[in-house]
Order: sequence, then C-alpha cells, then structure tokens
Amino acid sequence: MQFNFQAMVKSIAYSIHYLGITLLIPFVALVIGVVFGLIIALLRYYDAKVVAPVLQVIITLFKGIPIVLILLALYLFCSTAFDPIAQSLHWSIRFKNINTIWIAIVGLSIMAIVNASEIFRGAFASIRKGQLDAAQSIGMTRAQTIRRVLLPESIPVALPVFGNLFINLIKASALCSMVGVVDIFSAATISGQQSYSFLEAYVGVALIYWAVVVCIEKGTGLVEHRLTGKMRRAA
Amino acid sequence: MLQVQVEGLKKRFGGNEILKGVSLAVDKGEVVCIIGPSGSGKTTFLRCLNLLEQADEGTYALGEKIRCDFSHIGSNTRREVSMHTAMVFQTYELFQHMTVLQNVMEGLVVPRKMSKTKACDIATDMLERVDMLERAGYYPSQLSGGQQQRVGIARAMALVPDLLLFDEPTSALDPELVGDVLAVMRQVADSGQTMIVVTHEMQFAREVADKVVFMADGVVVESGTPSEVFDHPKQERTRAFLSNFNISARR
Repeated sequence: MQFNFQAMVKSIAYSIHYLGITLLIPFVALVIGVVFGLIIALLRYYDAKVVAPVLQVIITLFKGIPIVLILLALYLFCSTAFDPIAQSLHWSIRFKNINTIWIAIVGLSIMAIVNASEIFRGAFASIRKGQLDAAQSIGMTRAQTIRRVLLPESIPVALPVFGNLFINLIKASALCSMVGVVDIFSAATISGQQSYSFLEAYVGVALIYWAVVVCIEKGTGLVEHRLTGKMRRAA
Repeated sequence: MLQVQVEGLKKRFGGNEILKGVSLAVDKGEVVCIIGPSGSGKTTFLRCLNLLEQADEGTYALGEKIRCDFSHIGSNTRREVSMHTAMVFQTYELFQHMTVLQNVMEGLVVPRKMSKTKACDIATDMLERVDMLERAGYYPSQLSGGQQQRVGIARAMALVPDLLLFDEPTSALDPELVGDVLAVMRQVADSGQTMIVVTHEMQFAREVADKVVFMADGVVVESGTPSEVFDHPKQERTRAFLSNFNISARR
C-alpha cells in the first residue's frame, strides 16, 4: 500500500472550502453555551430555590449522554415530529425545507451549555468566599458583586478551559455529518469516495483539524497571558 | 451619644448555638476591643453586625436611622446596614483584579454612585493617610500582607462608615509587619471613628480601647475600661485567659 500525497493535497483543497461550516457550528454553539451556561452556573452558585436542584438533575442527565446520541435523537425527533407539529400550528414550513445545520447547532449547543455551566461552576468555586464578603461589606448588591467581582475574577480561570471546550466542539462537529451537514469531514469523505483514496482524505482532513486547533490554542494562550499578566496572581 | 446598640443577639449554626445573647452598646467615636479565646464567637458577632451573617434573634440600632430586629431583616435594611458599616478582614480580601487605587474607589463608585473624579480624590487622600499612595497603581498580589491590610483599612475608611469593624486585622501578618498596621489603626481611632476591633493584640487593646469586652463561649463574660479588665478582672475566666498574656497586660 502506498500513500498518494497528491490525492491528499487534492482532498485538502476540496474539503477546506467547508471550513466555514466546521468553524461556524461550534462557534455559535460556544456563544450559546457561554450565555446559558453562565446563567445556569449563577443560579446554582446562589442556590436558587427549586431551579438549582432541577438544573443539577438536567445537567447530570445530559453530561452522561454521548453527543452522537443527542444529534441522532434530535434528528429522529425532528424528522418524525416536526411536520405534525408544524401542521397543527398552521406553519407553512416542513422538515424537508429545514437546513439540518440547525439540528447540528442545537445538538452542539446542548453539549456546550452543559460543559460551560460546569466550567463556570469550577471557576466560581475557585474564588474565595471572602472576596464576596468584601464586596458585600462595601455595600455592593448581588448584581454588582457578580458584575464587578465574581465575573472579572472567574474569567481568567475559566478562559483556558473555554479554549479546550471550543476545541472539543470543533472535533465533535465532525459528527454533524451524521445528520447530513457537509463540513470538512464529510467533504473529505466525499473526495475520498471519488478517488478511492480514503486514507489520504482522512489524513488531509486531520491536518486541517490539527491546524485549526493549534491556532485556537495559541489564541487563547495569548488572551490568557494578557489577562493573568494584569492580575499577576500570586499562587 | 449612642452609635451602636445590640441587645440579646443569638446565632445558631445548625443545632450549635454560637452566640447566646450578646449585648453591646458603643458610643459615637468609641473604640471597643473584643478579646477572648478562639471559638468564643467574636468573629461571628462582628459578622452579624454588618449582616454578613444573619443572626437569629436580637435587636440592633445603628447610627441615627437604622433600627431593626435580627429575626426579620428585609433586603432594604440589609443594604442600609452594609452601606453604613465597613469591615477590615483578617485575610485583607482586596479585590485581586483591581489596583490599590481602584480597590479604594470601588465602594464609592459602584454602590454609592459617586463620580470617578471625586472618588479618586477621596481614595488618594485615604491612601496618603495609610502611607500607601506611592503603591496606588500596584495589584494586591504585588504587596506584602501589611501593605495589603493598610489598603484594606483605607478601603473601609473611604466609605466614612458609622461603624468600622476590624476582624483580627493583624492575625495573618508576619510579626514584623504588625506594627505598621497597628499604627494605622491607632491613627484611625484617634480620628474619632467609631470602631469595634476583634483582636489578640492585648497591648493595642489596652492602649487604644475605650472599652474592652471579654467574650467566651458565646457570651460576654466581662466588659469595662482597659484598666478594669486588664488590671482588676472580676471573673475567674477573664483572669485565666489574661494569664496567657501576662507581660503585655502588666506593662
């Protein structure tokens, strides 16, 4: 067996056109994850009545389900249940008109929210309670404490972990091809099928993923350095 | 004029009663030092006074306006109390992500909505008084414990509180840094600030306090002027406790 270098280059050139999708889905999921994950983490941190324990159950539930299952379950649910629901609500839109990219975004968003809420929870836990006492002692309300003390002190802790989450989301986005989204991974599969050079196509797409991941690591590293450099946290 | 009056303060943690009915009256401008063995509830008592802990029973009067019952405190009262008190913590608790100057300004700018220029003037003045002005642009992690604590005092003083609380302000410091902080506290006391100090510095209590309170097991065992408590303690408990500090008490 020999490795066809040219086929790999060709496959890379083909699949790189879909890089936008591979970045877009995880990015949207990450943004949604940060927003909702933060809200969930705050509700749990301040032990909101009823809501906090319910959230804990939901988070634990979703934490234990592989992302593939979430994506497939969403797809099956939408493909069977969407049309009847749309019909009864008199919407004109049908399942076949929906871009499955939305299913991918929802699926990865669930993964992002669950992970982001846990990241924030960990970051909050690293803040000494005394910092919050100090905030209250100078007259801050809870909202002011969150805005002025809790978040600014947690973000440098959380940021590198969010870099990892983004990387995981990008890698997980390869699974979106299972619900019919064409990203760099399924593009590589397509180009492999055309020339029967699967190995070359997969190695090629792996190189693309690797390059993207390295860029993100360097990027978060830079931002992290600036943030913590400012605080000069004494260990 | 009475500035602070607490009657029958009780506090339980679970089934464990930490404070068993503590009463204390403090005049305006008075310096009260609370001494006593560890676990006697001194710190908890202090934290009940600015509502960092919610006491279970008792009444509280602070300044001219605030009157409340600890057993039902509304969020308005809670905020009023936190706006009229300030605290200096054992572990300083300066905000790690802010410079020294920003730390002192924060309580003025955010909760009290003061303009930044005015707050900066006040903060500069306060830092001057604790001799930390030349470190105004430093972050807390770049300072020694004694320096951080002096900033902590400036942060609390800037708020012009009706009552300033010190929670063992020198206990976490290296011995050679204690003197600087005590000197600043002495200066604060001389300025007429009403303050309650929980401390193990007997010499400081003896020299600076107008009133010394000895607490043990969640009750006030004895209180009076420094000479009453240190030189002529009436209770056996007080004598036993003070015997550990023989040298400083007799000096």
